[in-house]
Amino acid sequence: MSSLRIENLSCGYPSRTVLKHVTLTAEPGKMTVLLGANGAGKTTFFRTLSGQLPPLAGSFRLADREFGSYSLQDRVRELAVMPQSESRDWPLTVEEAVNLGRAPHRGWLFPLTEEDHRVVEEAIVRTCLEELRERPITELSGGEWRRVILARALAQEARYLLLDEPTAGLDLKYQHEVLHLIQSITHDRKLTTVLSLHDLNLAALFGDEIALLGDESLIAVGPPADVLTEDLIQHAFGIPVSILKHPVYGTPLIAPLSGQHTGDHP
Amino acid sequence: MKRRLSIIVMLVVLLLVAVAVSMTFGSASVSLSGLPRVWREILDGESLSTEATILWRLRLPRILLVCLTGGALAVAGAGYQGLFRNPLADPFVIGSASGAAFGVAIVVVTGLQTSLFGLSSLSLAGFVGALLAVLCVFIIAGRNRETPMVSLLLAGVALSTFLSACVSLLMIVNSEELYVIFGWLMGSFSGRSWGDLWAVTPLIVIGLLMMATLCRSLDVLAFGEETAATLGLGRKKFLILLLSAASLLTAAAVSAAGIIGFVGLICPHIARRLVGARHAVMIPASGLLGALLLLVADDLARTVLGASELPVGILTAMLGGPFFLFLLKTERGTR
Repeated sequence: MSSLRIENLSCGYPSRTVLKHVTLTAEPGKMTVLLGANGAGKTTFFRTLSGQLPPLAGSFRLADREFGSYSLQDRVRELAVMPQSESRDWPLTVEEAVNLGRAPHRGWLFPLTEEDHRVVEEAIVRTCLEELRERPITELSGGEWRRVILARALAQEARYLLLDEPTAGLDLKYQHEVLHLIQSITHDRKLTTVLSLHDLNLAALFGDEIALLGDESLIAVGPPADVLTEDLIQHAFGIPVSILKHPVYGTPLIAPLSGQHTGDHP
Repeated sequence: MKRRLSIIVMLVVLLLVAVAVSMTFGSASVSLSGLPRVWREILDGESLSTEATILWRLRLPRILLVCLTGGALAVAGAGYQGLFRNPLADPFVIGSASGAAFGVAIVVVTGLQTSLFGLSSLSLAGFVGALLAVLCVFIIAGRNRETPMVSLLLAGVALSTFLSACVSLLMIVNSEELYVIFGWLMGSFSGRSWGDLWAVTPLIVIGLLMMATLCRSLDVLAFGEETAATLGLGRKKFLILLLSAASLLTAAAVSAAGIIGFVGLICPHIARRLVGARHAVMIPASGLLGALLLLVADDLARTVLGASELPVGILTAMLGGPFFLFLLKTERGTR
């Protein structure tokens, strides 16, 4: 099974530990959403999982294989990463950008094969980018650009997807559009998806599992209804909230009680 | 894709035409229709007429050298722009030019005169100086096994400024040699012949081949270093390969003709406009444009003043500057 098993992982920088003793398992076909206040260590966590930052202690496994035992080439075939903000410095076309998702398989020198083009085409269709394929990536809107990065990750054919705030900077419609896409890809292809979000309500809607970070560690992990409680959220974010029920889906709906009115909170 | 390939083919044709036309310019002028006759004369190897001698001994090697140099500069510029993800980078961005100038200034001042592999001591000094400067910058910029791009740029700027000051000092102190150094700094192909061509050709060919292996890596770098790493780009190996390729090309160009500005800056821009940003297409286009542009500039350099020659570096800057501004003004909304 392609689950991501994290055991007692501590991450951060030699001079500063950011997260301690995180134990967490992300299952295939599920969206595991990472929540936490600014500075709680979400990005550091992602950088460690994507191999850009060596773990300070502990370890994690991809499908029962120790992460440290992967070579760079093996690793990038398994793991696709979307950083919080990704630059697009040259006006490559959308198709050229998605093609580069094949680099982990094809290397840097040889031309793409028929098979590569088939995989790329599938990724482009899946993310509805057919119309935009000749468009320079520098001319895309934020939402379209996120879709291109997702398409590139699909072309990469990785079984693990790490997405650091995939909705950052998007408006309401695009936030939902992008998360829907991630969700359906995760479910269809049985991908092991770990993503971080800032919006608690989006997390409640789209997350299969929620991992809540705070106090330099993992405070709670479980389905949204178990983790998104008034106490835990106040603990993690330092602001009182009231939990309602989503009128349509029945998922938790979080209403923050803004600072000034704290006193009025029953 | 078809359109892009046809643009490349067009550039090749254009370059061939430009080479043929350039053969007819100059002190011994031959008409285009006269070229085949001269060519036959050269191939027959019998005693050459004066014009055939000039064409064969002087003009042809010079034209070929100009094309190679222009191509090398433009490809090096494209490589550096890709590496630094910055459209302002040029072949001299991390110190090659001032390193070369410093090398040449030292040779001129100390009066060392030797030649090696058909290169004069000035060319050699330029070549070695350019490579050493880049090596210094690379070593200075490194810190605990990483070499951040910003450090490379900063170290490049700092070393360039320092070396330029040294060159100025050497020029002021040895004012009688001022013109030699200054003339070399302007860049010129005056008096180049087959020997110079054979000396730099292997270097440029090696540099171009190395650069050809780096195209997809450069594409991936457009997403930033972090993403490039998550797509499997081994940073250190890539960085060393690219710096070696680009500085080899730059140093070879410098040893051929001194410091010629602007070609390496604007050709990648024009190429990106014509064929898009994918390096596998953009770099060849840039190289062809570099050859073409420098050839036109050199044709002008050796003819506009009649008997005497202009340094070609002045012309590339005079032609290139306004053209670059025109490009900037007409560029579409995004960069």
